Amino acid sequence: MGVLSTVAFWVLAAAAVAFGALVFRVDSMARATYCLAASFVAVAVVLLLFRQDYLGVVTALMMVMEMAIMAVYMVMFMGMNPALMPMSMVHGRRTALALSAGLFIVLTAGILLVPWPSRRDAPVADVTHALGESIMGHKMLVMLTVSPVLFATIVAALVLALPRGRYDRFGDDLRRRPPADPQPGGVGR
Amino acid sequence: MTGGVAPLSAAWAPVVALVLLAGAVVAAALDGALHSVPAGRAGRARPGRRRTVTGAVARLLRQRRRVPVAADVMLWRIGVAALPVAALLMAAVLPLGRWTLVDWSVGIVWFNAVDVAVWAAVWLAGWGPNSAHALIGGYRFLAQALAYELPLMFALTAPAVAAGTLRVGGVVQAQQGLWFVVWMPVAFVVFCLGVAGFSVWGPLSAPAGADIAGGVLAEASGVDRLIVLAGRYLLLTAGSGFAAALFLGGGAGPLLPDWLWMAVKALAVLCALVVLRRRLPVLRPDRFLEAGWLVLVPATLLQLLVVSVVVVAR
Amino acid sequence: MGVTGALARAGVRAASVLLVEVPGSTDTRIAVERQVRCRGWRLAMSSADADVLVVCGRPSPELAKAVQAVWVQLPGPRARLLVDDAREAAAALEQAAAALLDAPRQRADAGSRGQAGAQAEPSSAPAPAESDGDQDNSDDMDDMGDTDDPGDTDDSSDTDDSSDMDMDMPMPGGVPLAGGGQDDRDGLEMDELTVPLGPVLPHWPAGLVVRCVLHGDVVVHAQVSTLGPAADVAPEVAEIAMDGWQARRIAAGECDSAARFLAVAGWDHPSQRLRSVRDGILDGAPSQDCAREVAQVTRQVRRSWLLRWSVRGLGLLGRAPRPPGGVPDDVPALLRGDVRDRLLARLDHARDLLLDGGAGEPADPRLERQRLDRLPEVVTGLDLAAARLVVASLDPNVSVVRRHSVAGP
Repeated sequence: MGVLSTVAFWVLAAAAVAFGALVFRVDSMARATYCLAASFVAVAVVLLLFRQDYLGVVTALMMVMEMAIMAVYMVMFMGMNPALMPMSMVHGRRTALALSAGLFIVLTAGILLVPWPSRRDAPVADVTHALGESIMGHKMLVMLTVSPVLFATIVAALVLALPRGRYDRFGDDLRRRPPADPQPGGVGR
Repeated sequence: MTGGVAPLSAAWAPVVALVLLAGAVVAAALDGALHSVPAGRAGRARPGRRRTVTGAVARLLRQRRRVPVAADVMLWRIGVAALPVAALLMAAVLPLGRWTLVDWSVGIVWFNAVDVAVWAAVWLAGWGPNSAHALIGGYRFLAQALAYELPLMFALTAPAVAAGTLRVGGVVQAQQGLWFVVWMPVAFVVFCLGVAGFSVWGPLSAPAGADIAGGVLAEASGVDRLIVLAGRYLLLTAGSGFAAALFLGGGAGPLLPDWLWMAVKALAVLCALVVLRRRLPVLRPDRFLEAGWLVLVPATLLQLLVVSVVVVAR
Repeated sequence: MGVTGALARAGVRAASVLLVEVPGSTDTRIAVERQVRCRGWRLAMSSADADVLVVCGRPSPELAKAVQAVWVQLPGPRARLLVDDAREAAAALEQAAAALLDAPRQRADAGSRGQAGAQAEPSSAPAPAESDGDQDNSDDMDDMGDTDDPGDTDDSSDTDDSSDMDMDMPMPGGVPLAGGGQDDRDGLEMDELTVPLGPVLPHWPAGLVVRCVLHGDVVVHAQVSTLGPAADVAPEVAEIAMDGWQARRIAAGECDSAARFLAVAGWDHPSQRLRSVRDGILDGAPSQDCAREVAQVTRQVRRSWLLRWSVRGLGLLGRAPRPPGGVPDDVPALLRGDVRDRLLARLDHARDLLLDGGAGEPADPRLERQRLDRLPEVVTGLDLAAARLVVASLDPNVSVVRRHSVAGP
């Protein structure tokens, strides 16, 4: 690592932590959400420093997208316009503090105690590929199964959470056309 | 392998910005000119004086910035400024002929990541001013984005799979024989729709629609408005450039130098998008959402399947 | 002076105009719109976008108050005009251009805004306020739901009319928060926000105010009121010796209404085309040509599957879902169907008027009343975009309604 990348690493790490802390300091949900997004983006740039270009960019992509959606949900469920209404972003202060302190200790202990291997050779050209190989290489079958299962879980959870079923839409004999939807969609199912 | 593309030094970044800006000015001028053309054959109404880009820019430079009550000015300004920045970040990995600012191995994913950053930008621009119409505009954008983004991602995947690389230069290189638009037309159309989507343009301009007093633009005045409008045109230009590079063979073409071909193709896509804006009604987001998931996603997935089968069989 | 002056001159050449039409002043509004186009100016979408505020016609005190609230929101440099006569439009806009270029005056205007706020602004209609039985609490309405002037205390007290408002809720910036409402259609507990639509909105029927209670952007309750001119009298129609002038005026009005609907639908090309047909009709172009042009636009609209797909089934009146047996309803033919049917009905009506060359019946007050009365029930449950389309398709003529409710039964 050159000096420049060392400096960049520390600046980015500090930014990630600072934005993460700001999440609990700001008094608006929109700001909290986008502080979290900024924190994730800083982490993504750190990944770029590791030459994990693909992972870094994808992390930024996913996190910004997720936070954009999360802001909507937060506002939707909290209801108030937080641009107007300053509100604390902290709930259950004591439990949260205890949990996060405990988690921090466990993770730090893990980082410090694990015997990390030292570099034996020059890194390969395509580190993304190498990382994928070493994480998933001989467990590809497991990985291939996990993703459909995860996806099915999401769909199933949504189906269970939806209060309206097909009988509400199509009537008891399932013959009502067009279906009774509060907001008809564009395809006309 | 650099794919026949020579990366320029960072000192060229202002030049790239100027080239992009030139494209945006052309688009804005064309839009203004189309506005002044008397519609239909009638011509009986005296054609109005031409609206020039200079005039519009001068007006906004002179206008005062107005901040509504209890606005979240910081988030608003971030959202506004992020739009042109996003366009520049996209353009950074776009090759113009042999030149590109960054010949990145994950250029296509980068483009995708930046266009997702536009989600945040537009929503913040709608949220910040604390006004009902602007807020509805911001939410509309996210709803619409959920409908166009996934098809756009699959549309982006198709050329990458065909070329076997995520490098934009590599994708251009892979089209020497046959432009991708020929055998992935669905992906091309969906990609252009996505460009219209993240530029809040034409049929997908509901977030800035006339029915909500300009939506995310409703409260923007002065320099803020100028930056948002410029950001839209810049995004449109950068998106058109990517359409040319990913589907229309980039700089490939006879006689003319490759940078000129690239510029011509990008301008052609850009002008088509500008002309189509006036010719098509705005799609209502609630209808488009379902169409996006039930029509566009399967269509692009099928396109991707076809491309993958062709690539494997080749 | 050099650069600033050049910037000002270039900027004023591209000024944008926010139009406020007082009911009954359609002719004036159309004249101003044409002048705006001639000058290469543009119509503004919102107050933040506008340099010039043009009030077409003489507003009632209530409407003047609403206009005042919008005027406060213009960022400046700004100019405000009251155009009461269609023939004055060109001169008035010239005057506005001069005012925009008048740097000392603009500077003084900007200086006076910070401290004094709305109260210091000259009122365009200094008539004493009088209450009108037709409306309630519709003063101080603006199109944005807020104002940039924290000193304007009227605003915070008047926009707060939701009855379930918690009184000890904080009001940051003097703006009340959304109040807690009932469950919405998806069973979520939603907050309610009261947003008045109108009377100053682009492509909005003159003088109409729809006070909407919103869940998100879904209208759950709508209440219609109207704001009128200073005096509810029939507008004086300029005497022009032309065959079938009355029919032409009505046809032009139908084209204008259709053009505004298409503008709300975000379809600029046919909208602009209809505007130029409208101007042609009023200028006395051969009615055959105008009718052909209208028919062409109608065909374009009718053929567009995109528009049909986009607005299908919106604001349906009178035909579905009909119970078996088919109870006849009392929906007039012109209002039947969804928003697109009403648009096409308007266009066909315009073409027929142009082809017949008959006298042309003046707007039927009962029909206009129906357009107004049916509005709340149709927009309830729709999202804002759909509600705007429905309002644009009904497009009630507030002037006619008000005149006839004042005059008699």
